[in-house]
Amino acid sequence: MILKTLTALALLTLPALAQKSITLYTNREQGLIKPLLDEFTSKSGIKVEALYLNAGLLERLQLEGAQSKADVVIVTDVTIAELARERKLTSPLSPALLNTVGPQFKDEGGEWLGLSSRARVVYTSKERVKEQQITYSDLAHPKWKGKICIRQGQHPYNLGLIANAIALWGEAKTESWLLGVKANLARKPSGGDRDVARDIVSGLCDIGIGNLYYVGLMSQDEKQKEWVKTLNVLYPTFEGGGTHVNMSASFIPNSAPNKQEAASLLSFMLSEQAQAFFAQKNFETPVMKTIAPAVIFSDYGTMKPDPTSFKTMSQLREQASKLVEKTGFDQ
Amino acid sequence: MKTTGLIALWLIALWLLSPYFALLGFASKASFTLPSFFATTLFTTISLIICVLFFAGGIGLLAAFTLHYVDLRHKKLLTVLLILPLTLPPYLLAFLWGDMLDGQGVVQQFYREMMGYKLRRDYWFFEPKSFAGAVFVFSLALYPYVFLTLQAYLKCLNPHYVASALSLGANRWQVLRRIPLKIATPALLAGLLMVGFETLNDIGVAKYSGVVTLPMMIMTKWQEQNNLGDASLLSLLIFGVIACGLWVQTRLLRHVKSAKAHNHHSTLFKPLGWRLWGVQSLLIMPAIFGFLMPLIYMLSLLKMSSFELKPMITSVIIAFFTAITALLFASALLMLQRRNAKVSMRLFALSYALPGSILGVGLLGVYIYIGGSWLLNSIIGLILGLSIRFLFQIYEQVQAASGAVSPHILLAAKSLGAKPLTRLWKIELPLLRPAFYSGVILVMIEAMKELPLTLMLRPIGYETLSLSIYDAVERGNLESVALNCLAMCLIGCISVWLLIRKNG
Repeated sequence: MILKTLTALALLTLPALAQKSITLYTNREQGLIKPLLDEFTSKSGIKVEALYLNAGLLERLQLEGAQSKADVVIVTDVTIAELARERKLTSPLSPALLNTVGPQFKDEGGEWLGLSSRARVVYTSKERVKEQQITYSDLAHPKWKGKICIRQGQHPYNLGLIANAIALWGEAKTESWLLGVKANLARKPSGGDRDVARDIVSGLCDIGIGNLYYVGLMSQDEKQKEWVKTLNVLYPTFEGGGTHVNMSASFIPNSAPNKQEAASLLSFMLSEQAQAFFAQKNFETPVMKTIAPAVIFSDYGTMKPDPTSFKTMSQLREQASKLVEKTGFDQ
Repeated sequence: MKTTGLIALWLIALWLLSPYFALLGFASKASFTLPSFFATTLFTTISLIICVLFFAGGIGLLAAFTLHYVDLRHKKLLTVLLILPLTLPPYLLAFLWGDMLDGQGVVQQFYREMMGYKLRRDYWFFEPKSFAGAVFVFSLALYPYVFLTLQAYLKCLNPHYVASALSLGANRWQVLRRIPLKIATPALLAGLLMVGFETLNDIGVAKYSGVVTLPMMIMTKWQEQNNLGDASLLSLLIFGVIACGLWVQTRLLRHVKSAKAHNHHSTLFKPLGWRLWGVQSLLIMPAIFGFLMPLIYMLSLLKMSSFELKPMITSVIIAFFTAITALLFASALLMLQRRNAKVSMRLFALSYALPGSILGVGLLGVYIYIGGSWLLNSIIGLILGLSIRFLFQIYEQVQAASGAVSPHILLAAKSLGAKPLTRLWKIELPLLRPAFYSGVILVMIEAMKELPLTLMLRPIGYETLSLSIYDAVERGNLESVALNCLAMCLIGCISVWLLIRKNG
């Protein structure tokens, strides 16, 4: 009896078959991307079967090879797209798609393109920090001893920042910078970017490193919007450069069974509507210049992104991870 | 047993080892260099495991012995309460306690207001995002393993031993130290083993607490340094060390015989008045910290939560079929063990000793190799993976219980002409039913909470409770799935109730 009921329930939960459908592999948070996929389906009639994978996305794609059902891949971090390209898992995108974004947001060979970006900024306590400008180098200054909070160094967001530093400063200077930041930490690197904000509000630290879009997301939360009121956001820069941004990217696997439909999803993701969604709902920075960032960020001034190419940063990611290990940043 | 049957059993055993072959394949490409701070990470991991074993073991041991040897009221209710923390995933417990106890949590806000402090850094307070915080969470989440296995063993202990010892003049403490503690050593070790594996393989709590452990180092090798070869090799090395440890443990305990269940309670202590209430209150503490307080906190978040039925149904289905599949695997191993007493079949059930994600990537390789992508894109692939992961839980239960089945009964049946399957079906299965039953429920609870493997092997369109909770925890927005958390607790409560009702 139990077996029959469970089998019946299993059948009920099977996803409904759609006439036209494509398969998306993604490691983006479901809550951040699903509304866009639903919108795409309602507009195009193409159903998107999304597989949300936290780890092993590339291995899965590689092992599946020609049998893979993946039509399109969207990843939080451009490094995964670049690795896919290196492993020859990607296919060339159409010029129509590539021409939609600026040169900094796409692969030179035209095999991946960016969808949205996120600046790695500094949260400060409005009450306790008077500085209105800061550089990444300043974070290693002894005046911040015991006052900085950050998530783990091995997190992709921080590895992107460290790779950016290696590209600009070289490994030796980045290493001493990392050691300087480590010496200034109020607690061991842990939690997430929201925890960084939370710990500044409680007074455990005065400043912290986090992504800009979390400030937007926190401002939408009943409890967390009170924290945002007590925080200031500074856009730190590399000397002679700008603020580090990491980028979510997309590509069409070379084994994709429905390349045309996959391209229409990407085309939708680069439409004004989707880009505005990235900006207004996810609080990310759109890759299209015509779309303005969320209003909430207007108080914090204008962000100037660092010009280091995403490709260079992707290629330095492994080195960044090893440097985090070498300096014992997370230990 | 016919040759075909034997071949089928060995094929099942081989299937259980298949992820290791895939990992060996990946490891053959390893450019093995020990990562910096490897020794520190190893030390941190071992320290964490030792601390958790000490506290979880201590709590589980004290709770089981108190419940068994002290004359208390509402023993059944106390038993249920003490098992309940098992229903909460450790990463969720870490997040909830973190939310309650950190600088911006209710406790510290009240403390600051009361003491007149302005900033969190102006005073000392227990920090949940720390090594101690991780030990606190793991101890609360994992002590039920020790409690459950010890409790089951104590019921097997013949009460006449205790009565005889008392009549020969030993005092109650001497009796306690000399008889049950010694006899329950295998059960204590079995419970501690599960605690150790759970601690070793966790990534969620360690990440949240900022404690760098070996599995995190392995994941970094794979995910951030693009080196699956080294990650696989490191995992296999850990596996090898654990397998050796288990072999030593089996050798050391080879003379310890399992006892037959008597289901009797012996009473050594009869506290009265305030002492009785004192003992009862102390006994309930692990359940308060490990389940009731986090539950109340979750209830306080309810107003901001939404709920979907589908993930709950999916979770139950996956958990149920995972448990049934694991049960079949365990039965196959048991039959093989009967035929090959010299080879420990435990080795085939040891995937529990691998980090979930690493087992996942091994299974990815196997699925693609044997069946194309259909296994990957079906719920069957996930259920098979989960059943391999949690086989150890059920196998240990069944193996321990099978030791209590007298070989004379089986020999008698054999001499009367009963075939192996008949013997299994008519004699062993009925005798082992309690062990199977508790094993199935334990695996169901575990499969409901499981995360890393589910994250890697879930088919398209499937959402489970643990996945939705993890998604929200990652976004730092647990409020949005508080009802899902409660649903998970509720299913866990029902499972625990079933466990107690059947096993007494």
